[in-house]
Amino acid sequence: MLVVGVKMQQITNTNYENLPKIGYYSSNERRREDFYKEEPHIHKQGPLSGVKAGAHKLYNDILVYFPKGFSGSKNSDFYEYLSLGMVPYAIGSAMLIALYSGANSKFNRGDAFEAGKVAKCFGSGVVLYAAGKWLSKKLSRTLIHASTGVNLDMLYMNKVNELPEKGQDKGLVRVQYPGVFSSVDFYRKDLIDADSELNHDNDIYYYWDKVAKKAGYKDKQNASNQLMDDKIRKLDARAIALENINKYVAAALGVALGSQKAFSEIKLTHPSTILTALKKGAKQLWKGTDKNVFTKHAGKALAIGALVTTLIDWIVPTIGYKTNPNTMKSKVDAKKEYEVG
Amino acid sequence: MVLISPILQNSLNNNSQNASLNSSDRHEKFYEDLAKKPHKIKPNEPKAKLIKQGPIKGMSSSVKDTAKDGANFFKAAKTGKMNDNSLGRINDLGMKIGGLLIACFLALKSKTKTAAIMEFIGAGSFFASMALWPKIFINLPSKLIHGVDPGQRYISAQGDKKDFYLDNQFLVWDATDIKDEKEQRRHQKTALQNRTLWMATAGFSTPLMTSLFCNFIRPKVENGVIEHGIKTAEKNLAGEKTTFQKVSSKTKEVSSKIKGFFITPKPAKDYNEDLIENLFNSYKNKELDKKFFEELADYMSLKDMSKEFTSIDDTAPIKTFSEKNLPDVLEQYFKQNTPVNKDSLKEALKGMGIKKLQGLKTLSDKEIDDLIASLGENLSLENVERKLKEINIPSSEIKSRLNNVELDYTSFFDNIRTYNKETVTPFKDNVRTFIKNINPIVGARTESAYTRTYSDTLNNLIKNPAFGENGKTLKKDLLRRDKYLGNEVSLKDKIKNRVFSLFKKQEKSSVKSSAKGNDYEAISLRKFFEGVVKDVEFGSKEYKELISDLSKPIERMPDRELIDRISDENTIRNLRPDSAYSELDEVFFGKEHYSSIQKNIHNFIINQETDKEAIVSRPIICTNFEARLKEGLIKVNGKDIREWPEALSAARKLVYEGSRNTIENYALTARGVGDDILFADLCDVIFDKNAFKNEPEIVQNNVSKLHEYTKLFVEQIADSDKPIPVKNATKLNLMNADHKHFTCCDISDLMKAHAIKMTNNRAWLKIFGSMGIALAAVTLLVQPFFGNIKNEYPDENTKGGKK
Repeated sequence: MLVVGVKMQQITNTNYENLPKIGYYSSNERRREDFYKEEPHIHKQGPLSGVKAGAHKLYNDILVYFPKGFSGSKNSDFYEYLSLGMVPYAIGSAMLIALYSGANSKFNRGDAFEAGKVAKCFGSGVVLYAAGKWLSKKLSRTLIHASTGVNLDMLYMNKVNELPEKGQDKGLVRVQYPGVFSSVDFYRKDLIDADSELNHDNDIYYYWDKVAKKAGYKDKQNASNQLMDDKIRKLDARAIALENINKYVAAALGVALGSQKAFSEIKLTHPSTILTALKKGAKQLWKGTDKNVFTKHAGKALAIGALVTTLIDWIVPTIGYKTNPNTMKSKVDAKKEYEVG
Repeated sequence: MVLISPILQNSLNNNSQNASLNSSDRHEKFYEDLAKKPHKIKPNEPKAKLIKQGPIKGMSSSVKDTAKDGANFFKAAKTGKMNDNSLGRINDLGMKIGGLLIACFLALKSKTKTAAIMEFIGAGSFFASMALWPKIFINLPSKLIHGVDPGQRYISAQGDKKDFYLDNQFLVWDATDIKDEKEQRRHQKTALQNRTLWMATAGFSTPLMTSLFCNFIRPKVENGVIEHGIKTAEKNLAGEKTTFQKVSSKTKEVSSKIKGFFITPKPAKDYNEDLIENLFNSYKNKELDKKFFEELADYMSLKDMSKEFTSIDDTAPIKTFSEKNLPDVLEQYFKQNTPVNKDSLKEALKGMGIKKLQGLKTLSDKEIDDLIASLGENLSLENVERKLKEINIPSSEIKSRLNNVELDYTSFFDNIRTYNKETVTPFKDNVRTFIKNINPIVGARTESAYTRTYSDTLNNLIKNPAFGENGKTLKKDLLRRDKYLGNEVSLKDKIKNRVFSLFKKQEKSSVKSSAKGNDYEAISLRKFFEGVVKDVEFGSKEYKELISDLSKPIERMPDRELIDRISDENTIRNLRPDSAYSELDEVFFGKEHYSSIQKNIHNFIINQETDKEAIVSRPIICTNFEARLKEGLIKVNGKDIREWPEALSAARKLVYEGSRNTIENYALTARGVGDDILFADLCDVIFDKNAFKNEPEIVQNNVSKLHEYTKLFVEQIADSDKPIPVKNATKLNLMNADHKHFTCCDISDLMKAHAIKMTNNRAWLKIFGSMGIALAAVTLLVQPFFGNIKNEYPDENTKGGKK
């Protein structure tokens, strides 16, 4: 009855723009609330979103995904399997450090001291390997984001409805944090649409218009979602292909840096020594040793290589993505009237 | 054109009955059939196929796939079109590239060739371990136990190679023969459990397998590097062998002849031609004096070359000379070998006269021409001089005249330069290569034949069956860091504590008040021992009690029988290493080389034992010394050393420090006294057998051994031509240039390094080897419990029979 009342009021009001919305979802807030409760959606992205998702994965790896995997659950899925891939990385890194320092207590004092130095270099190398990998990827993706408006790191909150396990009446709903653009084949444009619709006054083209403008289209395009779809797919594929190489070049740079003498002087009880080692180590890496031409310049070559490949990872996808506005003109003039025969 | 779904299209095309009909009729007929029997429509035949290949084919196809990944990378970067699977595979390619870059960089940083090679082996085996662990410890057992291969791969309809069980919720059963739902579930479950196990274990297994493999392969790589080095050296030296033999027959000590190469391996310098040019210009129209030849020799770097070469090689342009007679030899050689310029000689001879009875008669042009013609090709200064003397021209005139003659000295330099370039430099290089490969002083210690010989010998020692059951104890003792080969800190501490507690108990010393708790180091050793014997008379009952108290730690010494057995001549003979490295080493080290290694090892073990005894005996020897000193019993040449500070301090050094590095310490001590003979007398008094009658047997033994060493050392100092058996030859070289003798390397350092390496390897292997075994065991043992689906189909179990 209340709904009818509202409807009656609406008819008498002539200012259509200010009319309240009709129906159950009379406001977008409520609609969004319900949608967010039940459906996968793009949540608010912050600088720490990636870290949070990583922590969520690691936490669930140990408490949920491993138990599910070991019990052979039907509900175990590909996301969980991929998330488990973090575990060998973490354990492997710790194991590598342990292999170099774990037996030190059994060595005599001099050997333990020498082995400790090597272990410190090695440990730094392992940590810097991961850091280099992460930084290179982050840098190129940030540059791509800045120049195209497409955040390839965008995550969404997935809601997975599980089948009931034995002893359960109803399957659980689990939360996952996959990337919107993780898959080139099936990137979640539906979620982008939904996000635009719910957060930008029902304008499902909001996101697409925004990125189309950044891509070089001056005018508002008809069906910008279809126009940008192929471009974004290519951007994504190129970026992933290139970063799969350059992040390892940067990782190699990390190991090279960690192998410098400066890192053997780190004292774990004094965190400031790490900073000193980073500064000194970078200098040592850049200078090289005078043994031969290779040892003199290898560090420089690696550092420049890592930077160049990272920049290529930004430049190549962006060049392929951007459109020169002068060459692209809409064949259909939106202001003109056409007769459709 | 009517659009038909692909499934229907397939059915349409496959219907052979309609083949004869034309296109539109076929469609009509098709829809007619469809309406009649819709259940007959079937989906497309599955295009996905399982990959079934052996390990070798699998390896070759993985190489191909990697190449394909590379091509895909460029395709993706160029076109931007690539599917998820291929993009994911580029990640593996990147990982390999990164691994290779790391290996290259670290190899450049490596100090030895073995280390450099190991970087690449390490990277390779890391990737191999990553691939092999699941294959051997997960997939294979799973296949054997459950008949399920969790690593099964297939080619998808799109042509991508994928793991069949990659996505637990998307399994392409159509590609398999497994049609039964229950069986499918069993496969799915087993595979998922195994793949989860893989994820749980991979972090441990990959680094473990890699490092275990590398530990196993490293000695083999090192051997290979050494073999290669020796071969290269021998090849380089094949032509030089005769030279070496010549040298060895000429001089008794080859080593001293070539010592220059590894003490200061300098390349042969080229001449400084500008300086030489200036020198000649400044001597124009002047007599070539001694100073000239001194400078010339210097500019030609002849000193550098001569030291090693003139006596080695008969074909050397300048024959044997010492630094002192170098200018003379050079002058002689210069005169013999430097031609004069014909025209300027002619000019100089003009107006030169022969004294005859009728007065001075100058040489005519024809006579001059005849004279020059008679000289022939030999236009050397010496020859010209001789000829002019023959025709009675006075020598004073010759000298002044000839100084105006231009010398064609370029050929003189060419001679020496060519010789230096063609003979000296390559010879030096070859020697250096050879030395590097066999001698650990110049080359990397771990990669020389010499080092390996010692490690082989030590291995033989440990494996030697001659030791019987005791071999085990020996092995244990050799490898225990607190016993023979490592630091004796723990033993020292034990004794220190023992002595200290004794000292506290007796409460006799005045220094007691300054000692706090167990802070032993705070008290000076000397004061301590002085305090201990303060009220005790040497040889009295109290003294005997004190000694017997101090002797208690000695009772716990390991049995000496073992040492006696090692000292046995036959045993030592059996220590000969298997790997004989080069016949050339005979030239360098003599035929006794191997036996000297065995002897060295023997001595080493004895020394270790002596040192250990010395540690135990030291408190007693110190007590004995201080007790005797107090009573003025220590006299040299009838003089009480308490009145002779230098001798007293030397004596104290001997007593207090002469333990671990016995010989080296004594070497230093001896030099401190300054007088070798007095030093020998001093040793005789301190280590007098008769003064140690009250002490336990082991101390007496030790004292006599120490005495022996000091005597030996004093003799060797006196005869400075003999190599000194010191710990570190280079150290001594710095100390005294007269004792630069060719001692290959320090045996105890090598032995210790090798034994410690073995101990460390064992300690490491004990931890990580057992970790690897435990990991493999757990991985294998949990697998039989996988794939149990009984509880998922409870109906069957309770009601019996299949549905």
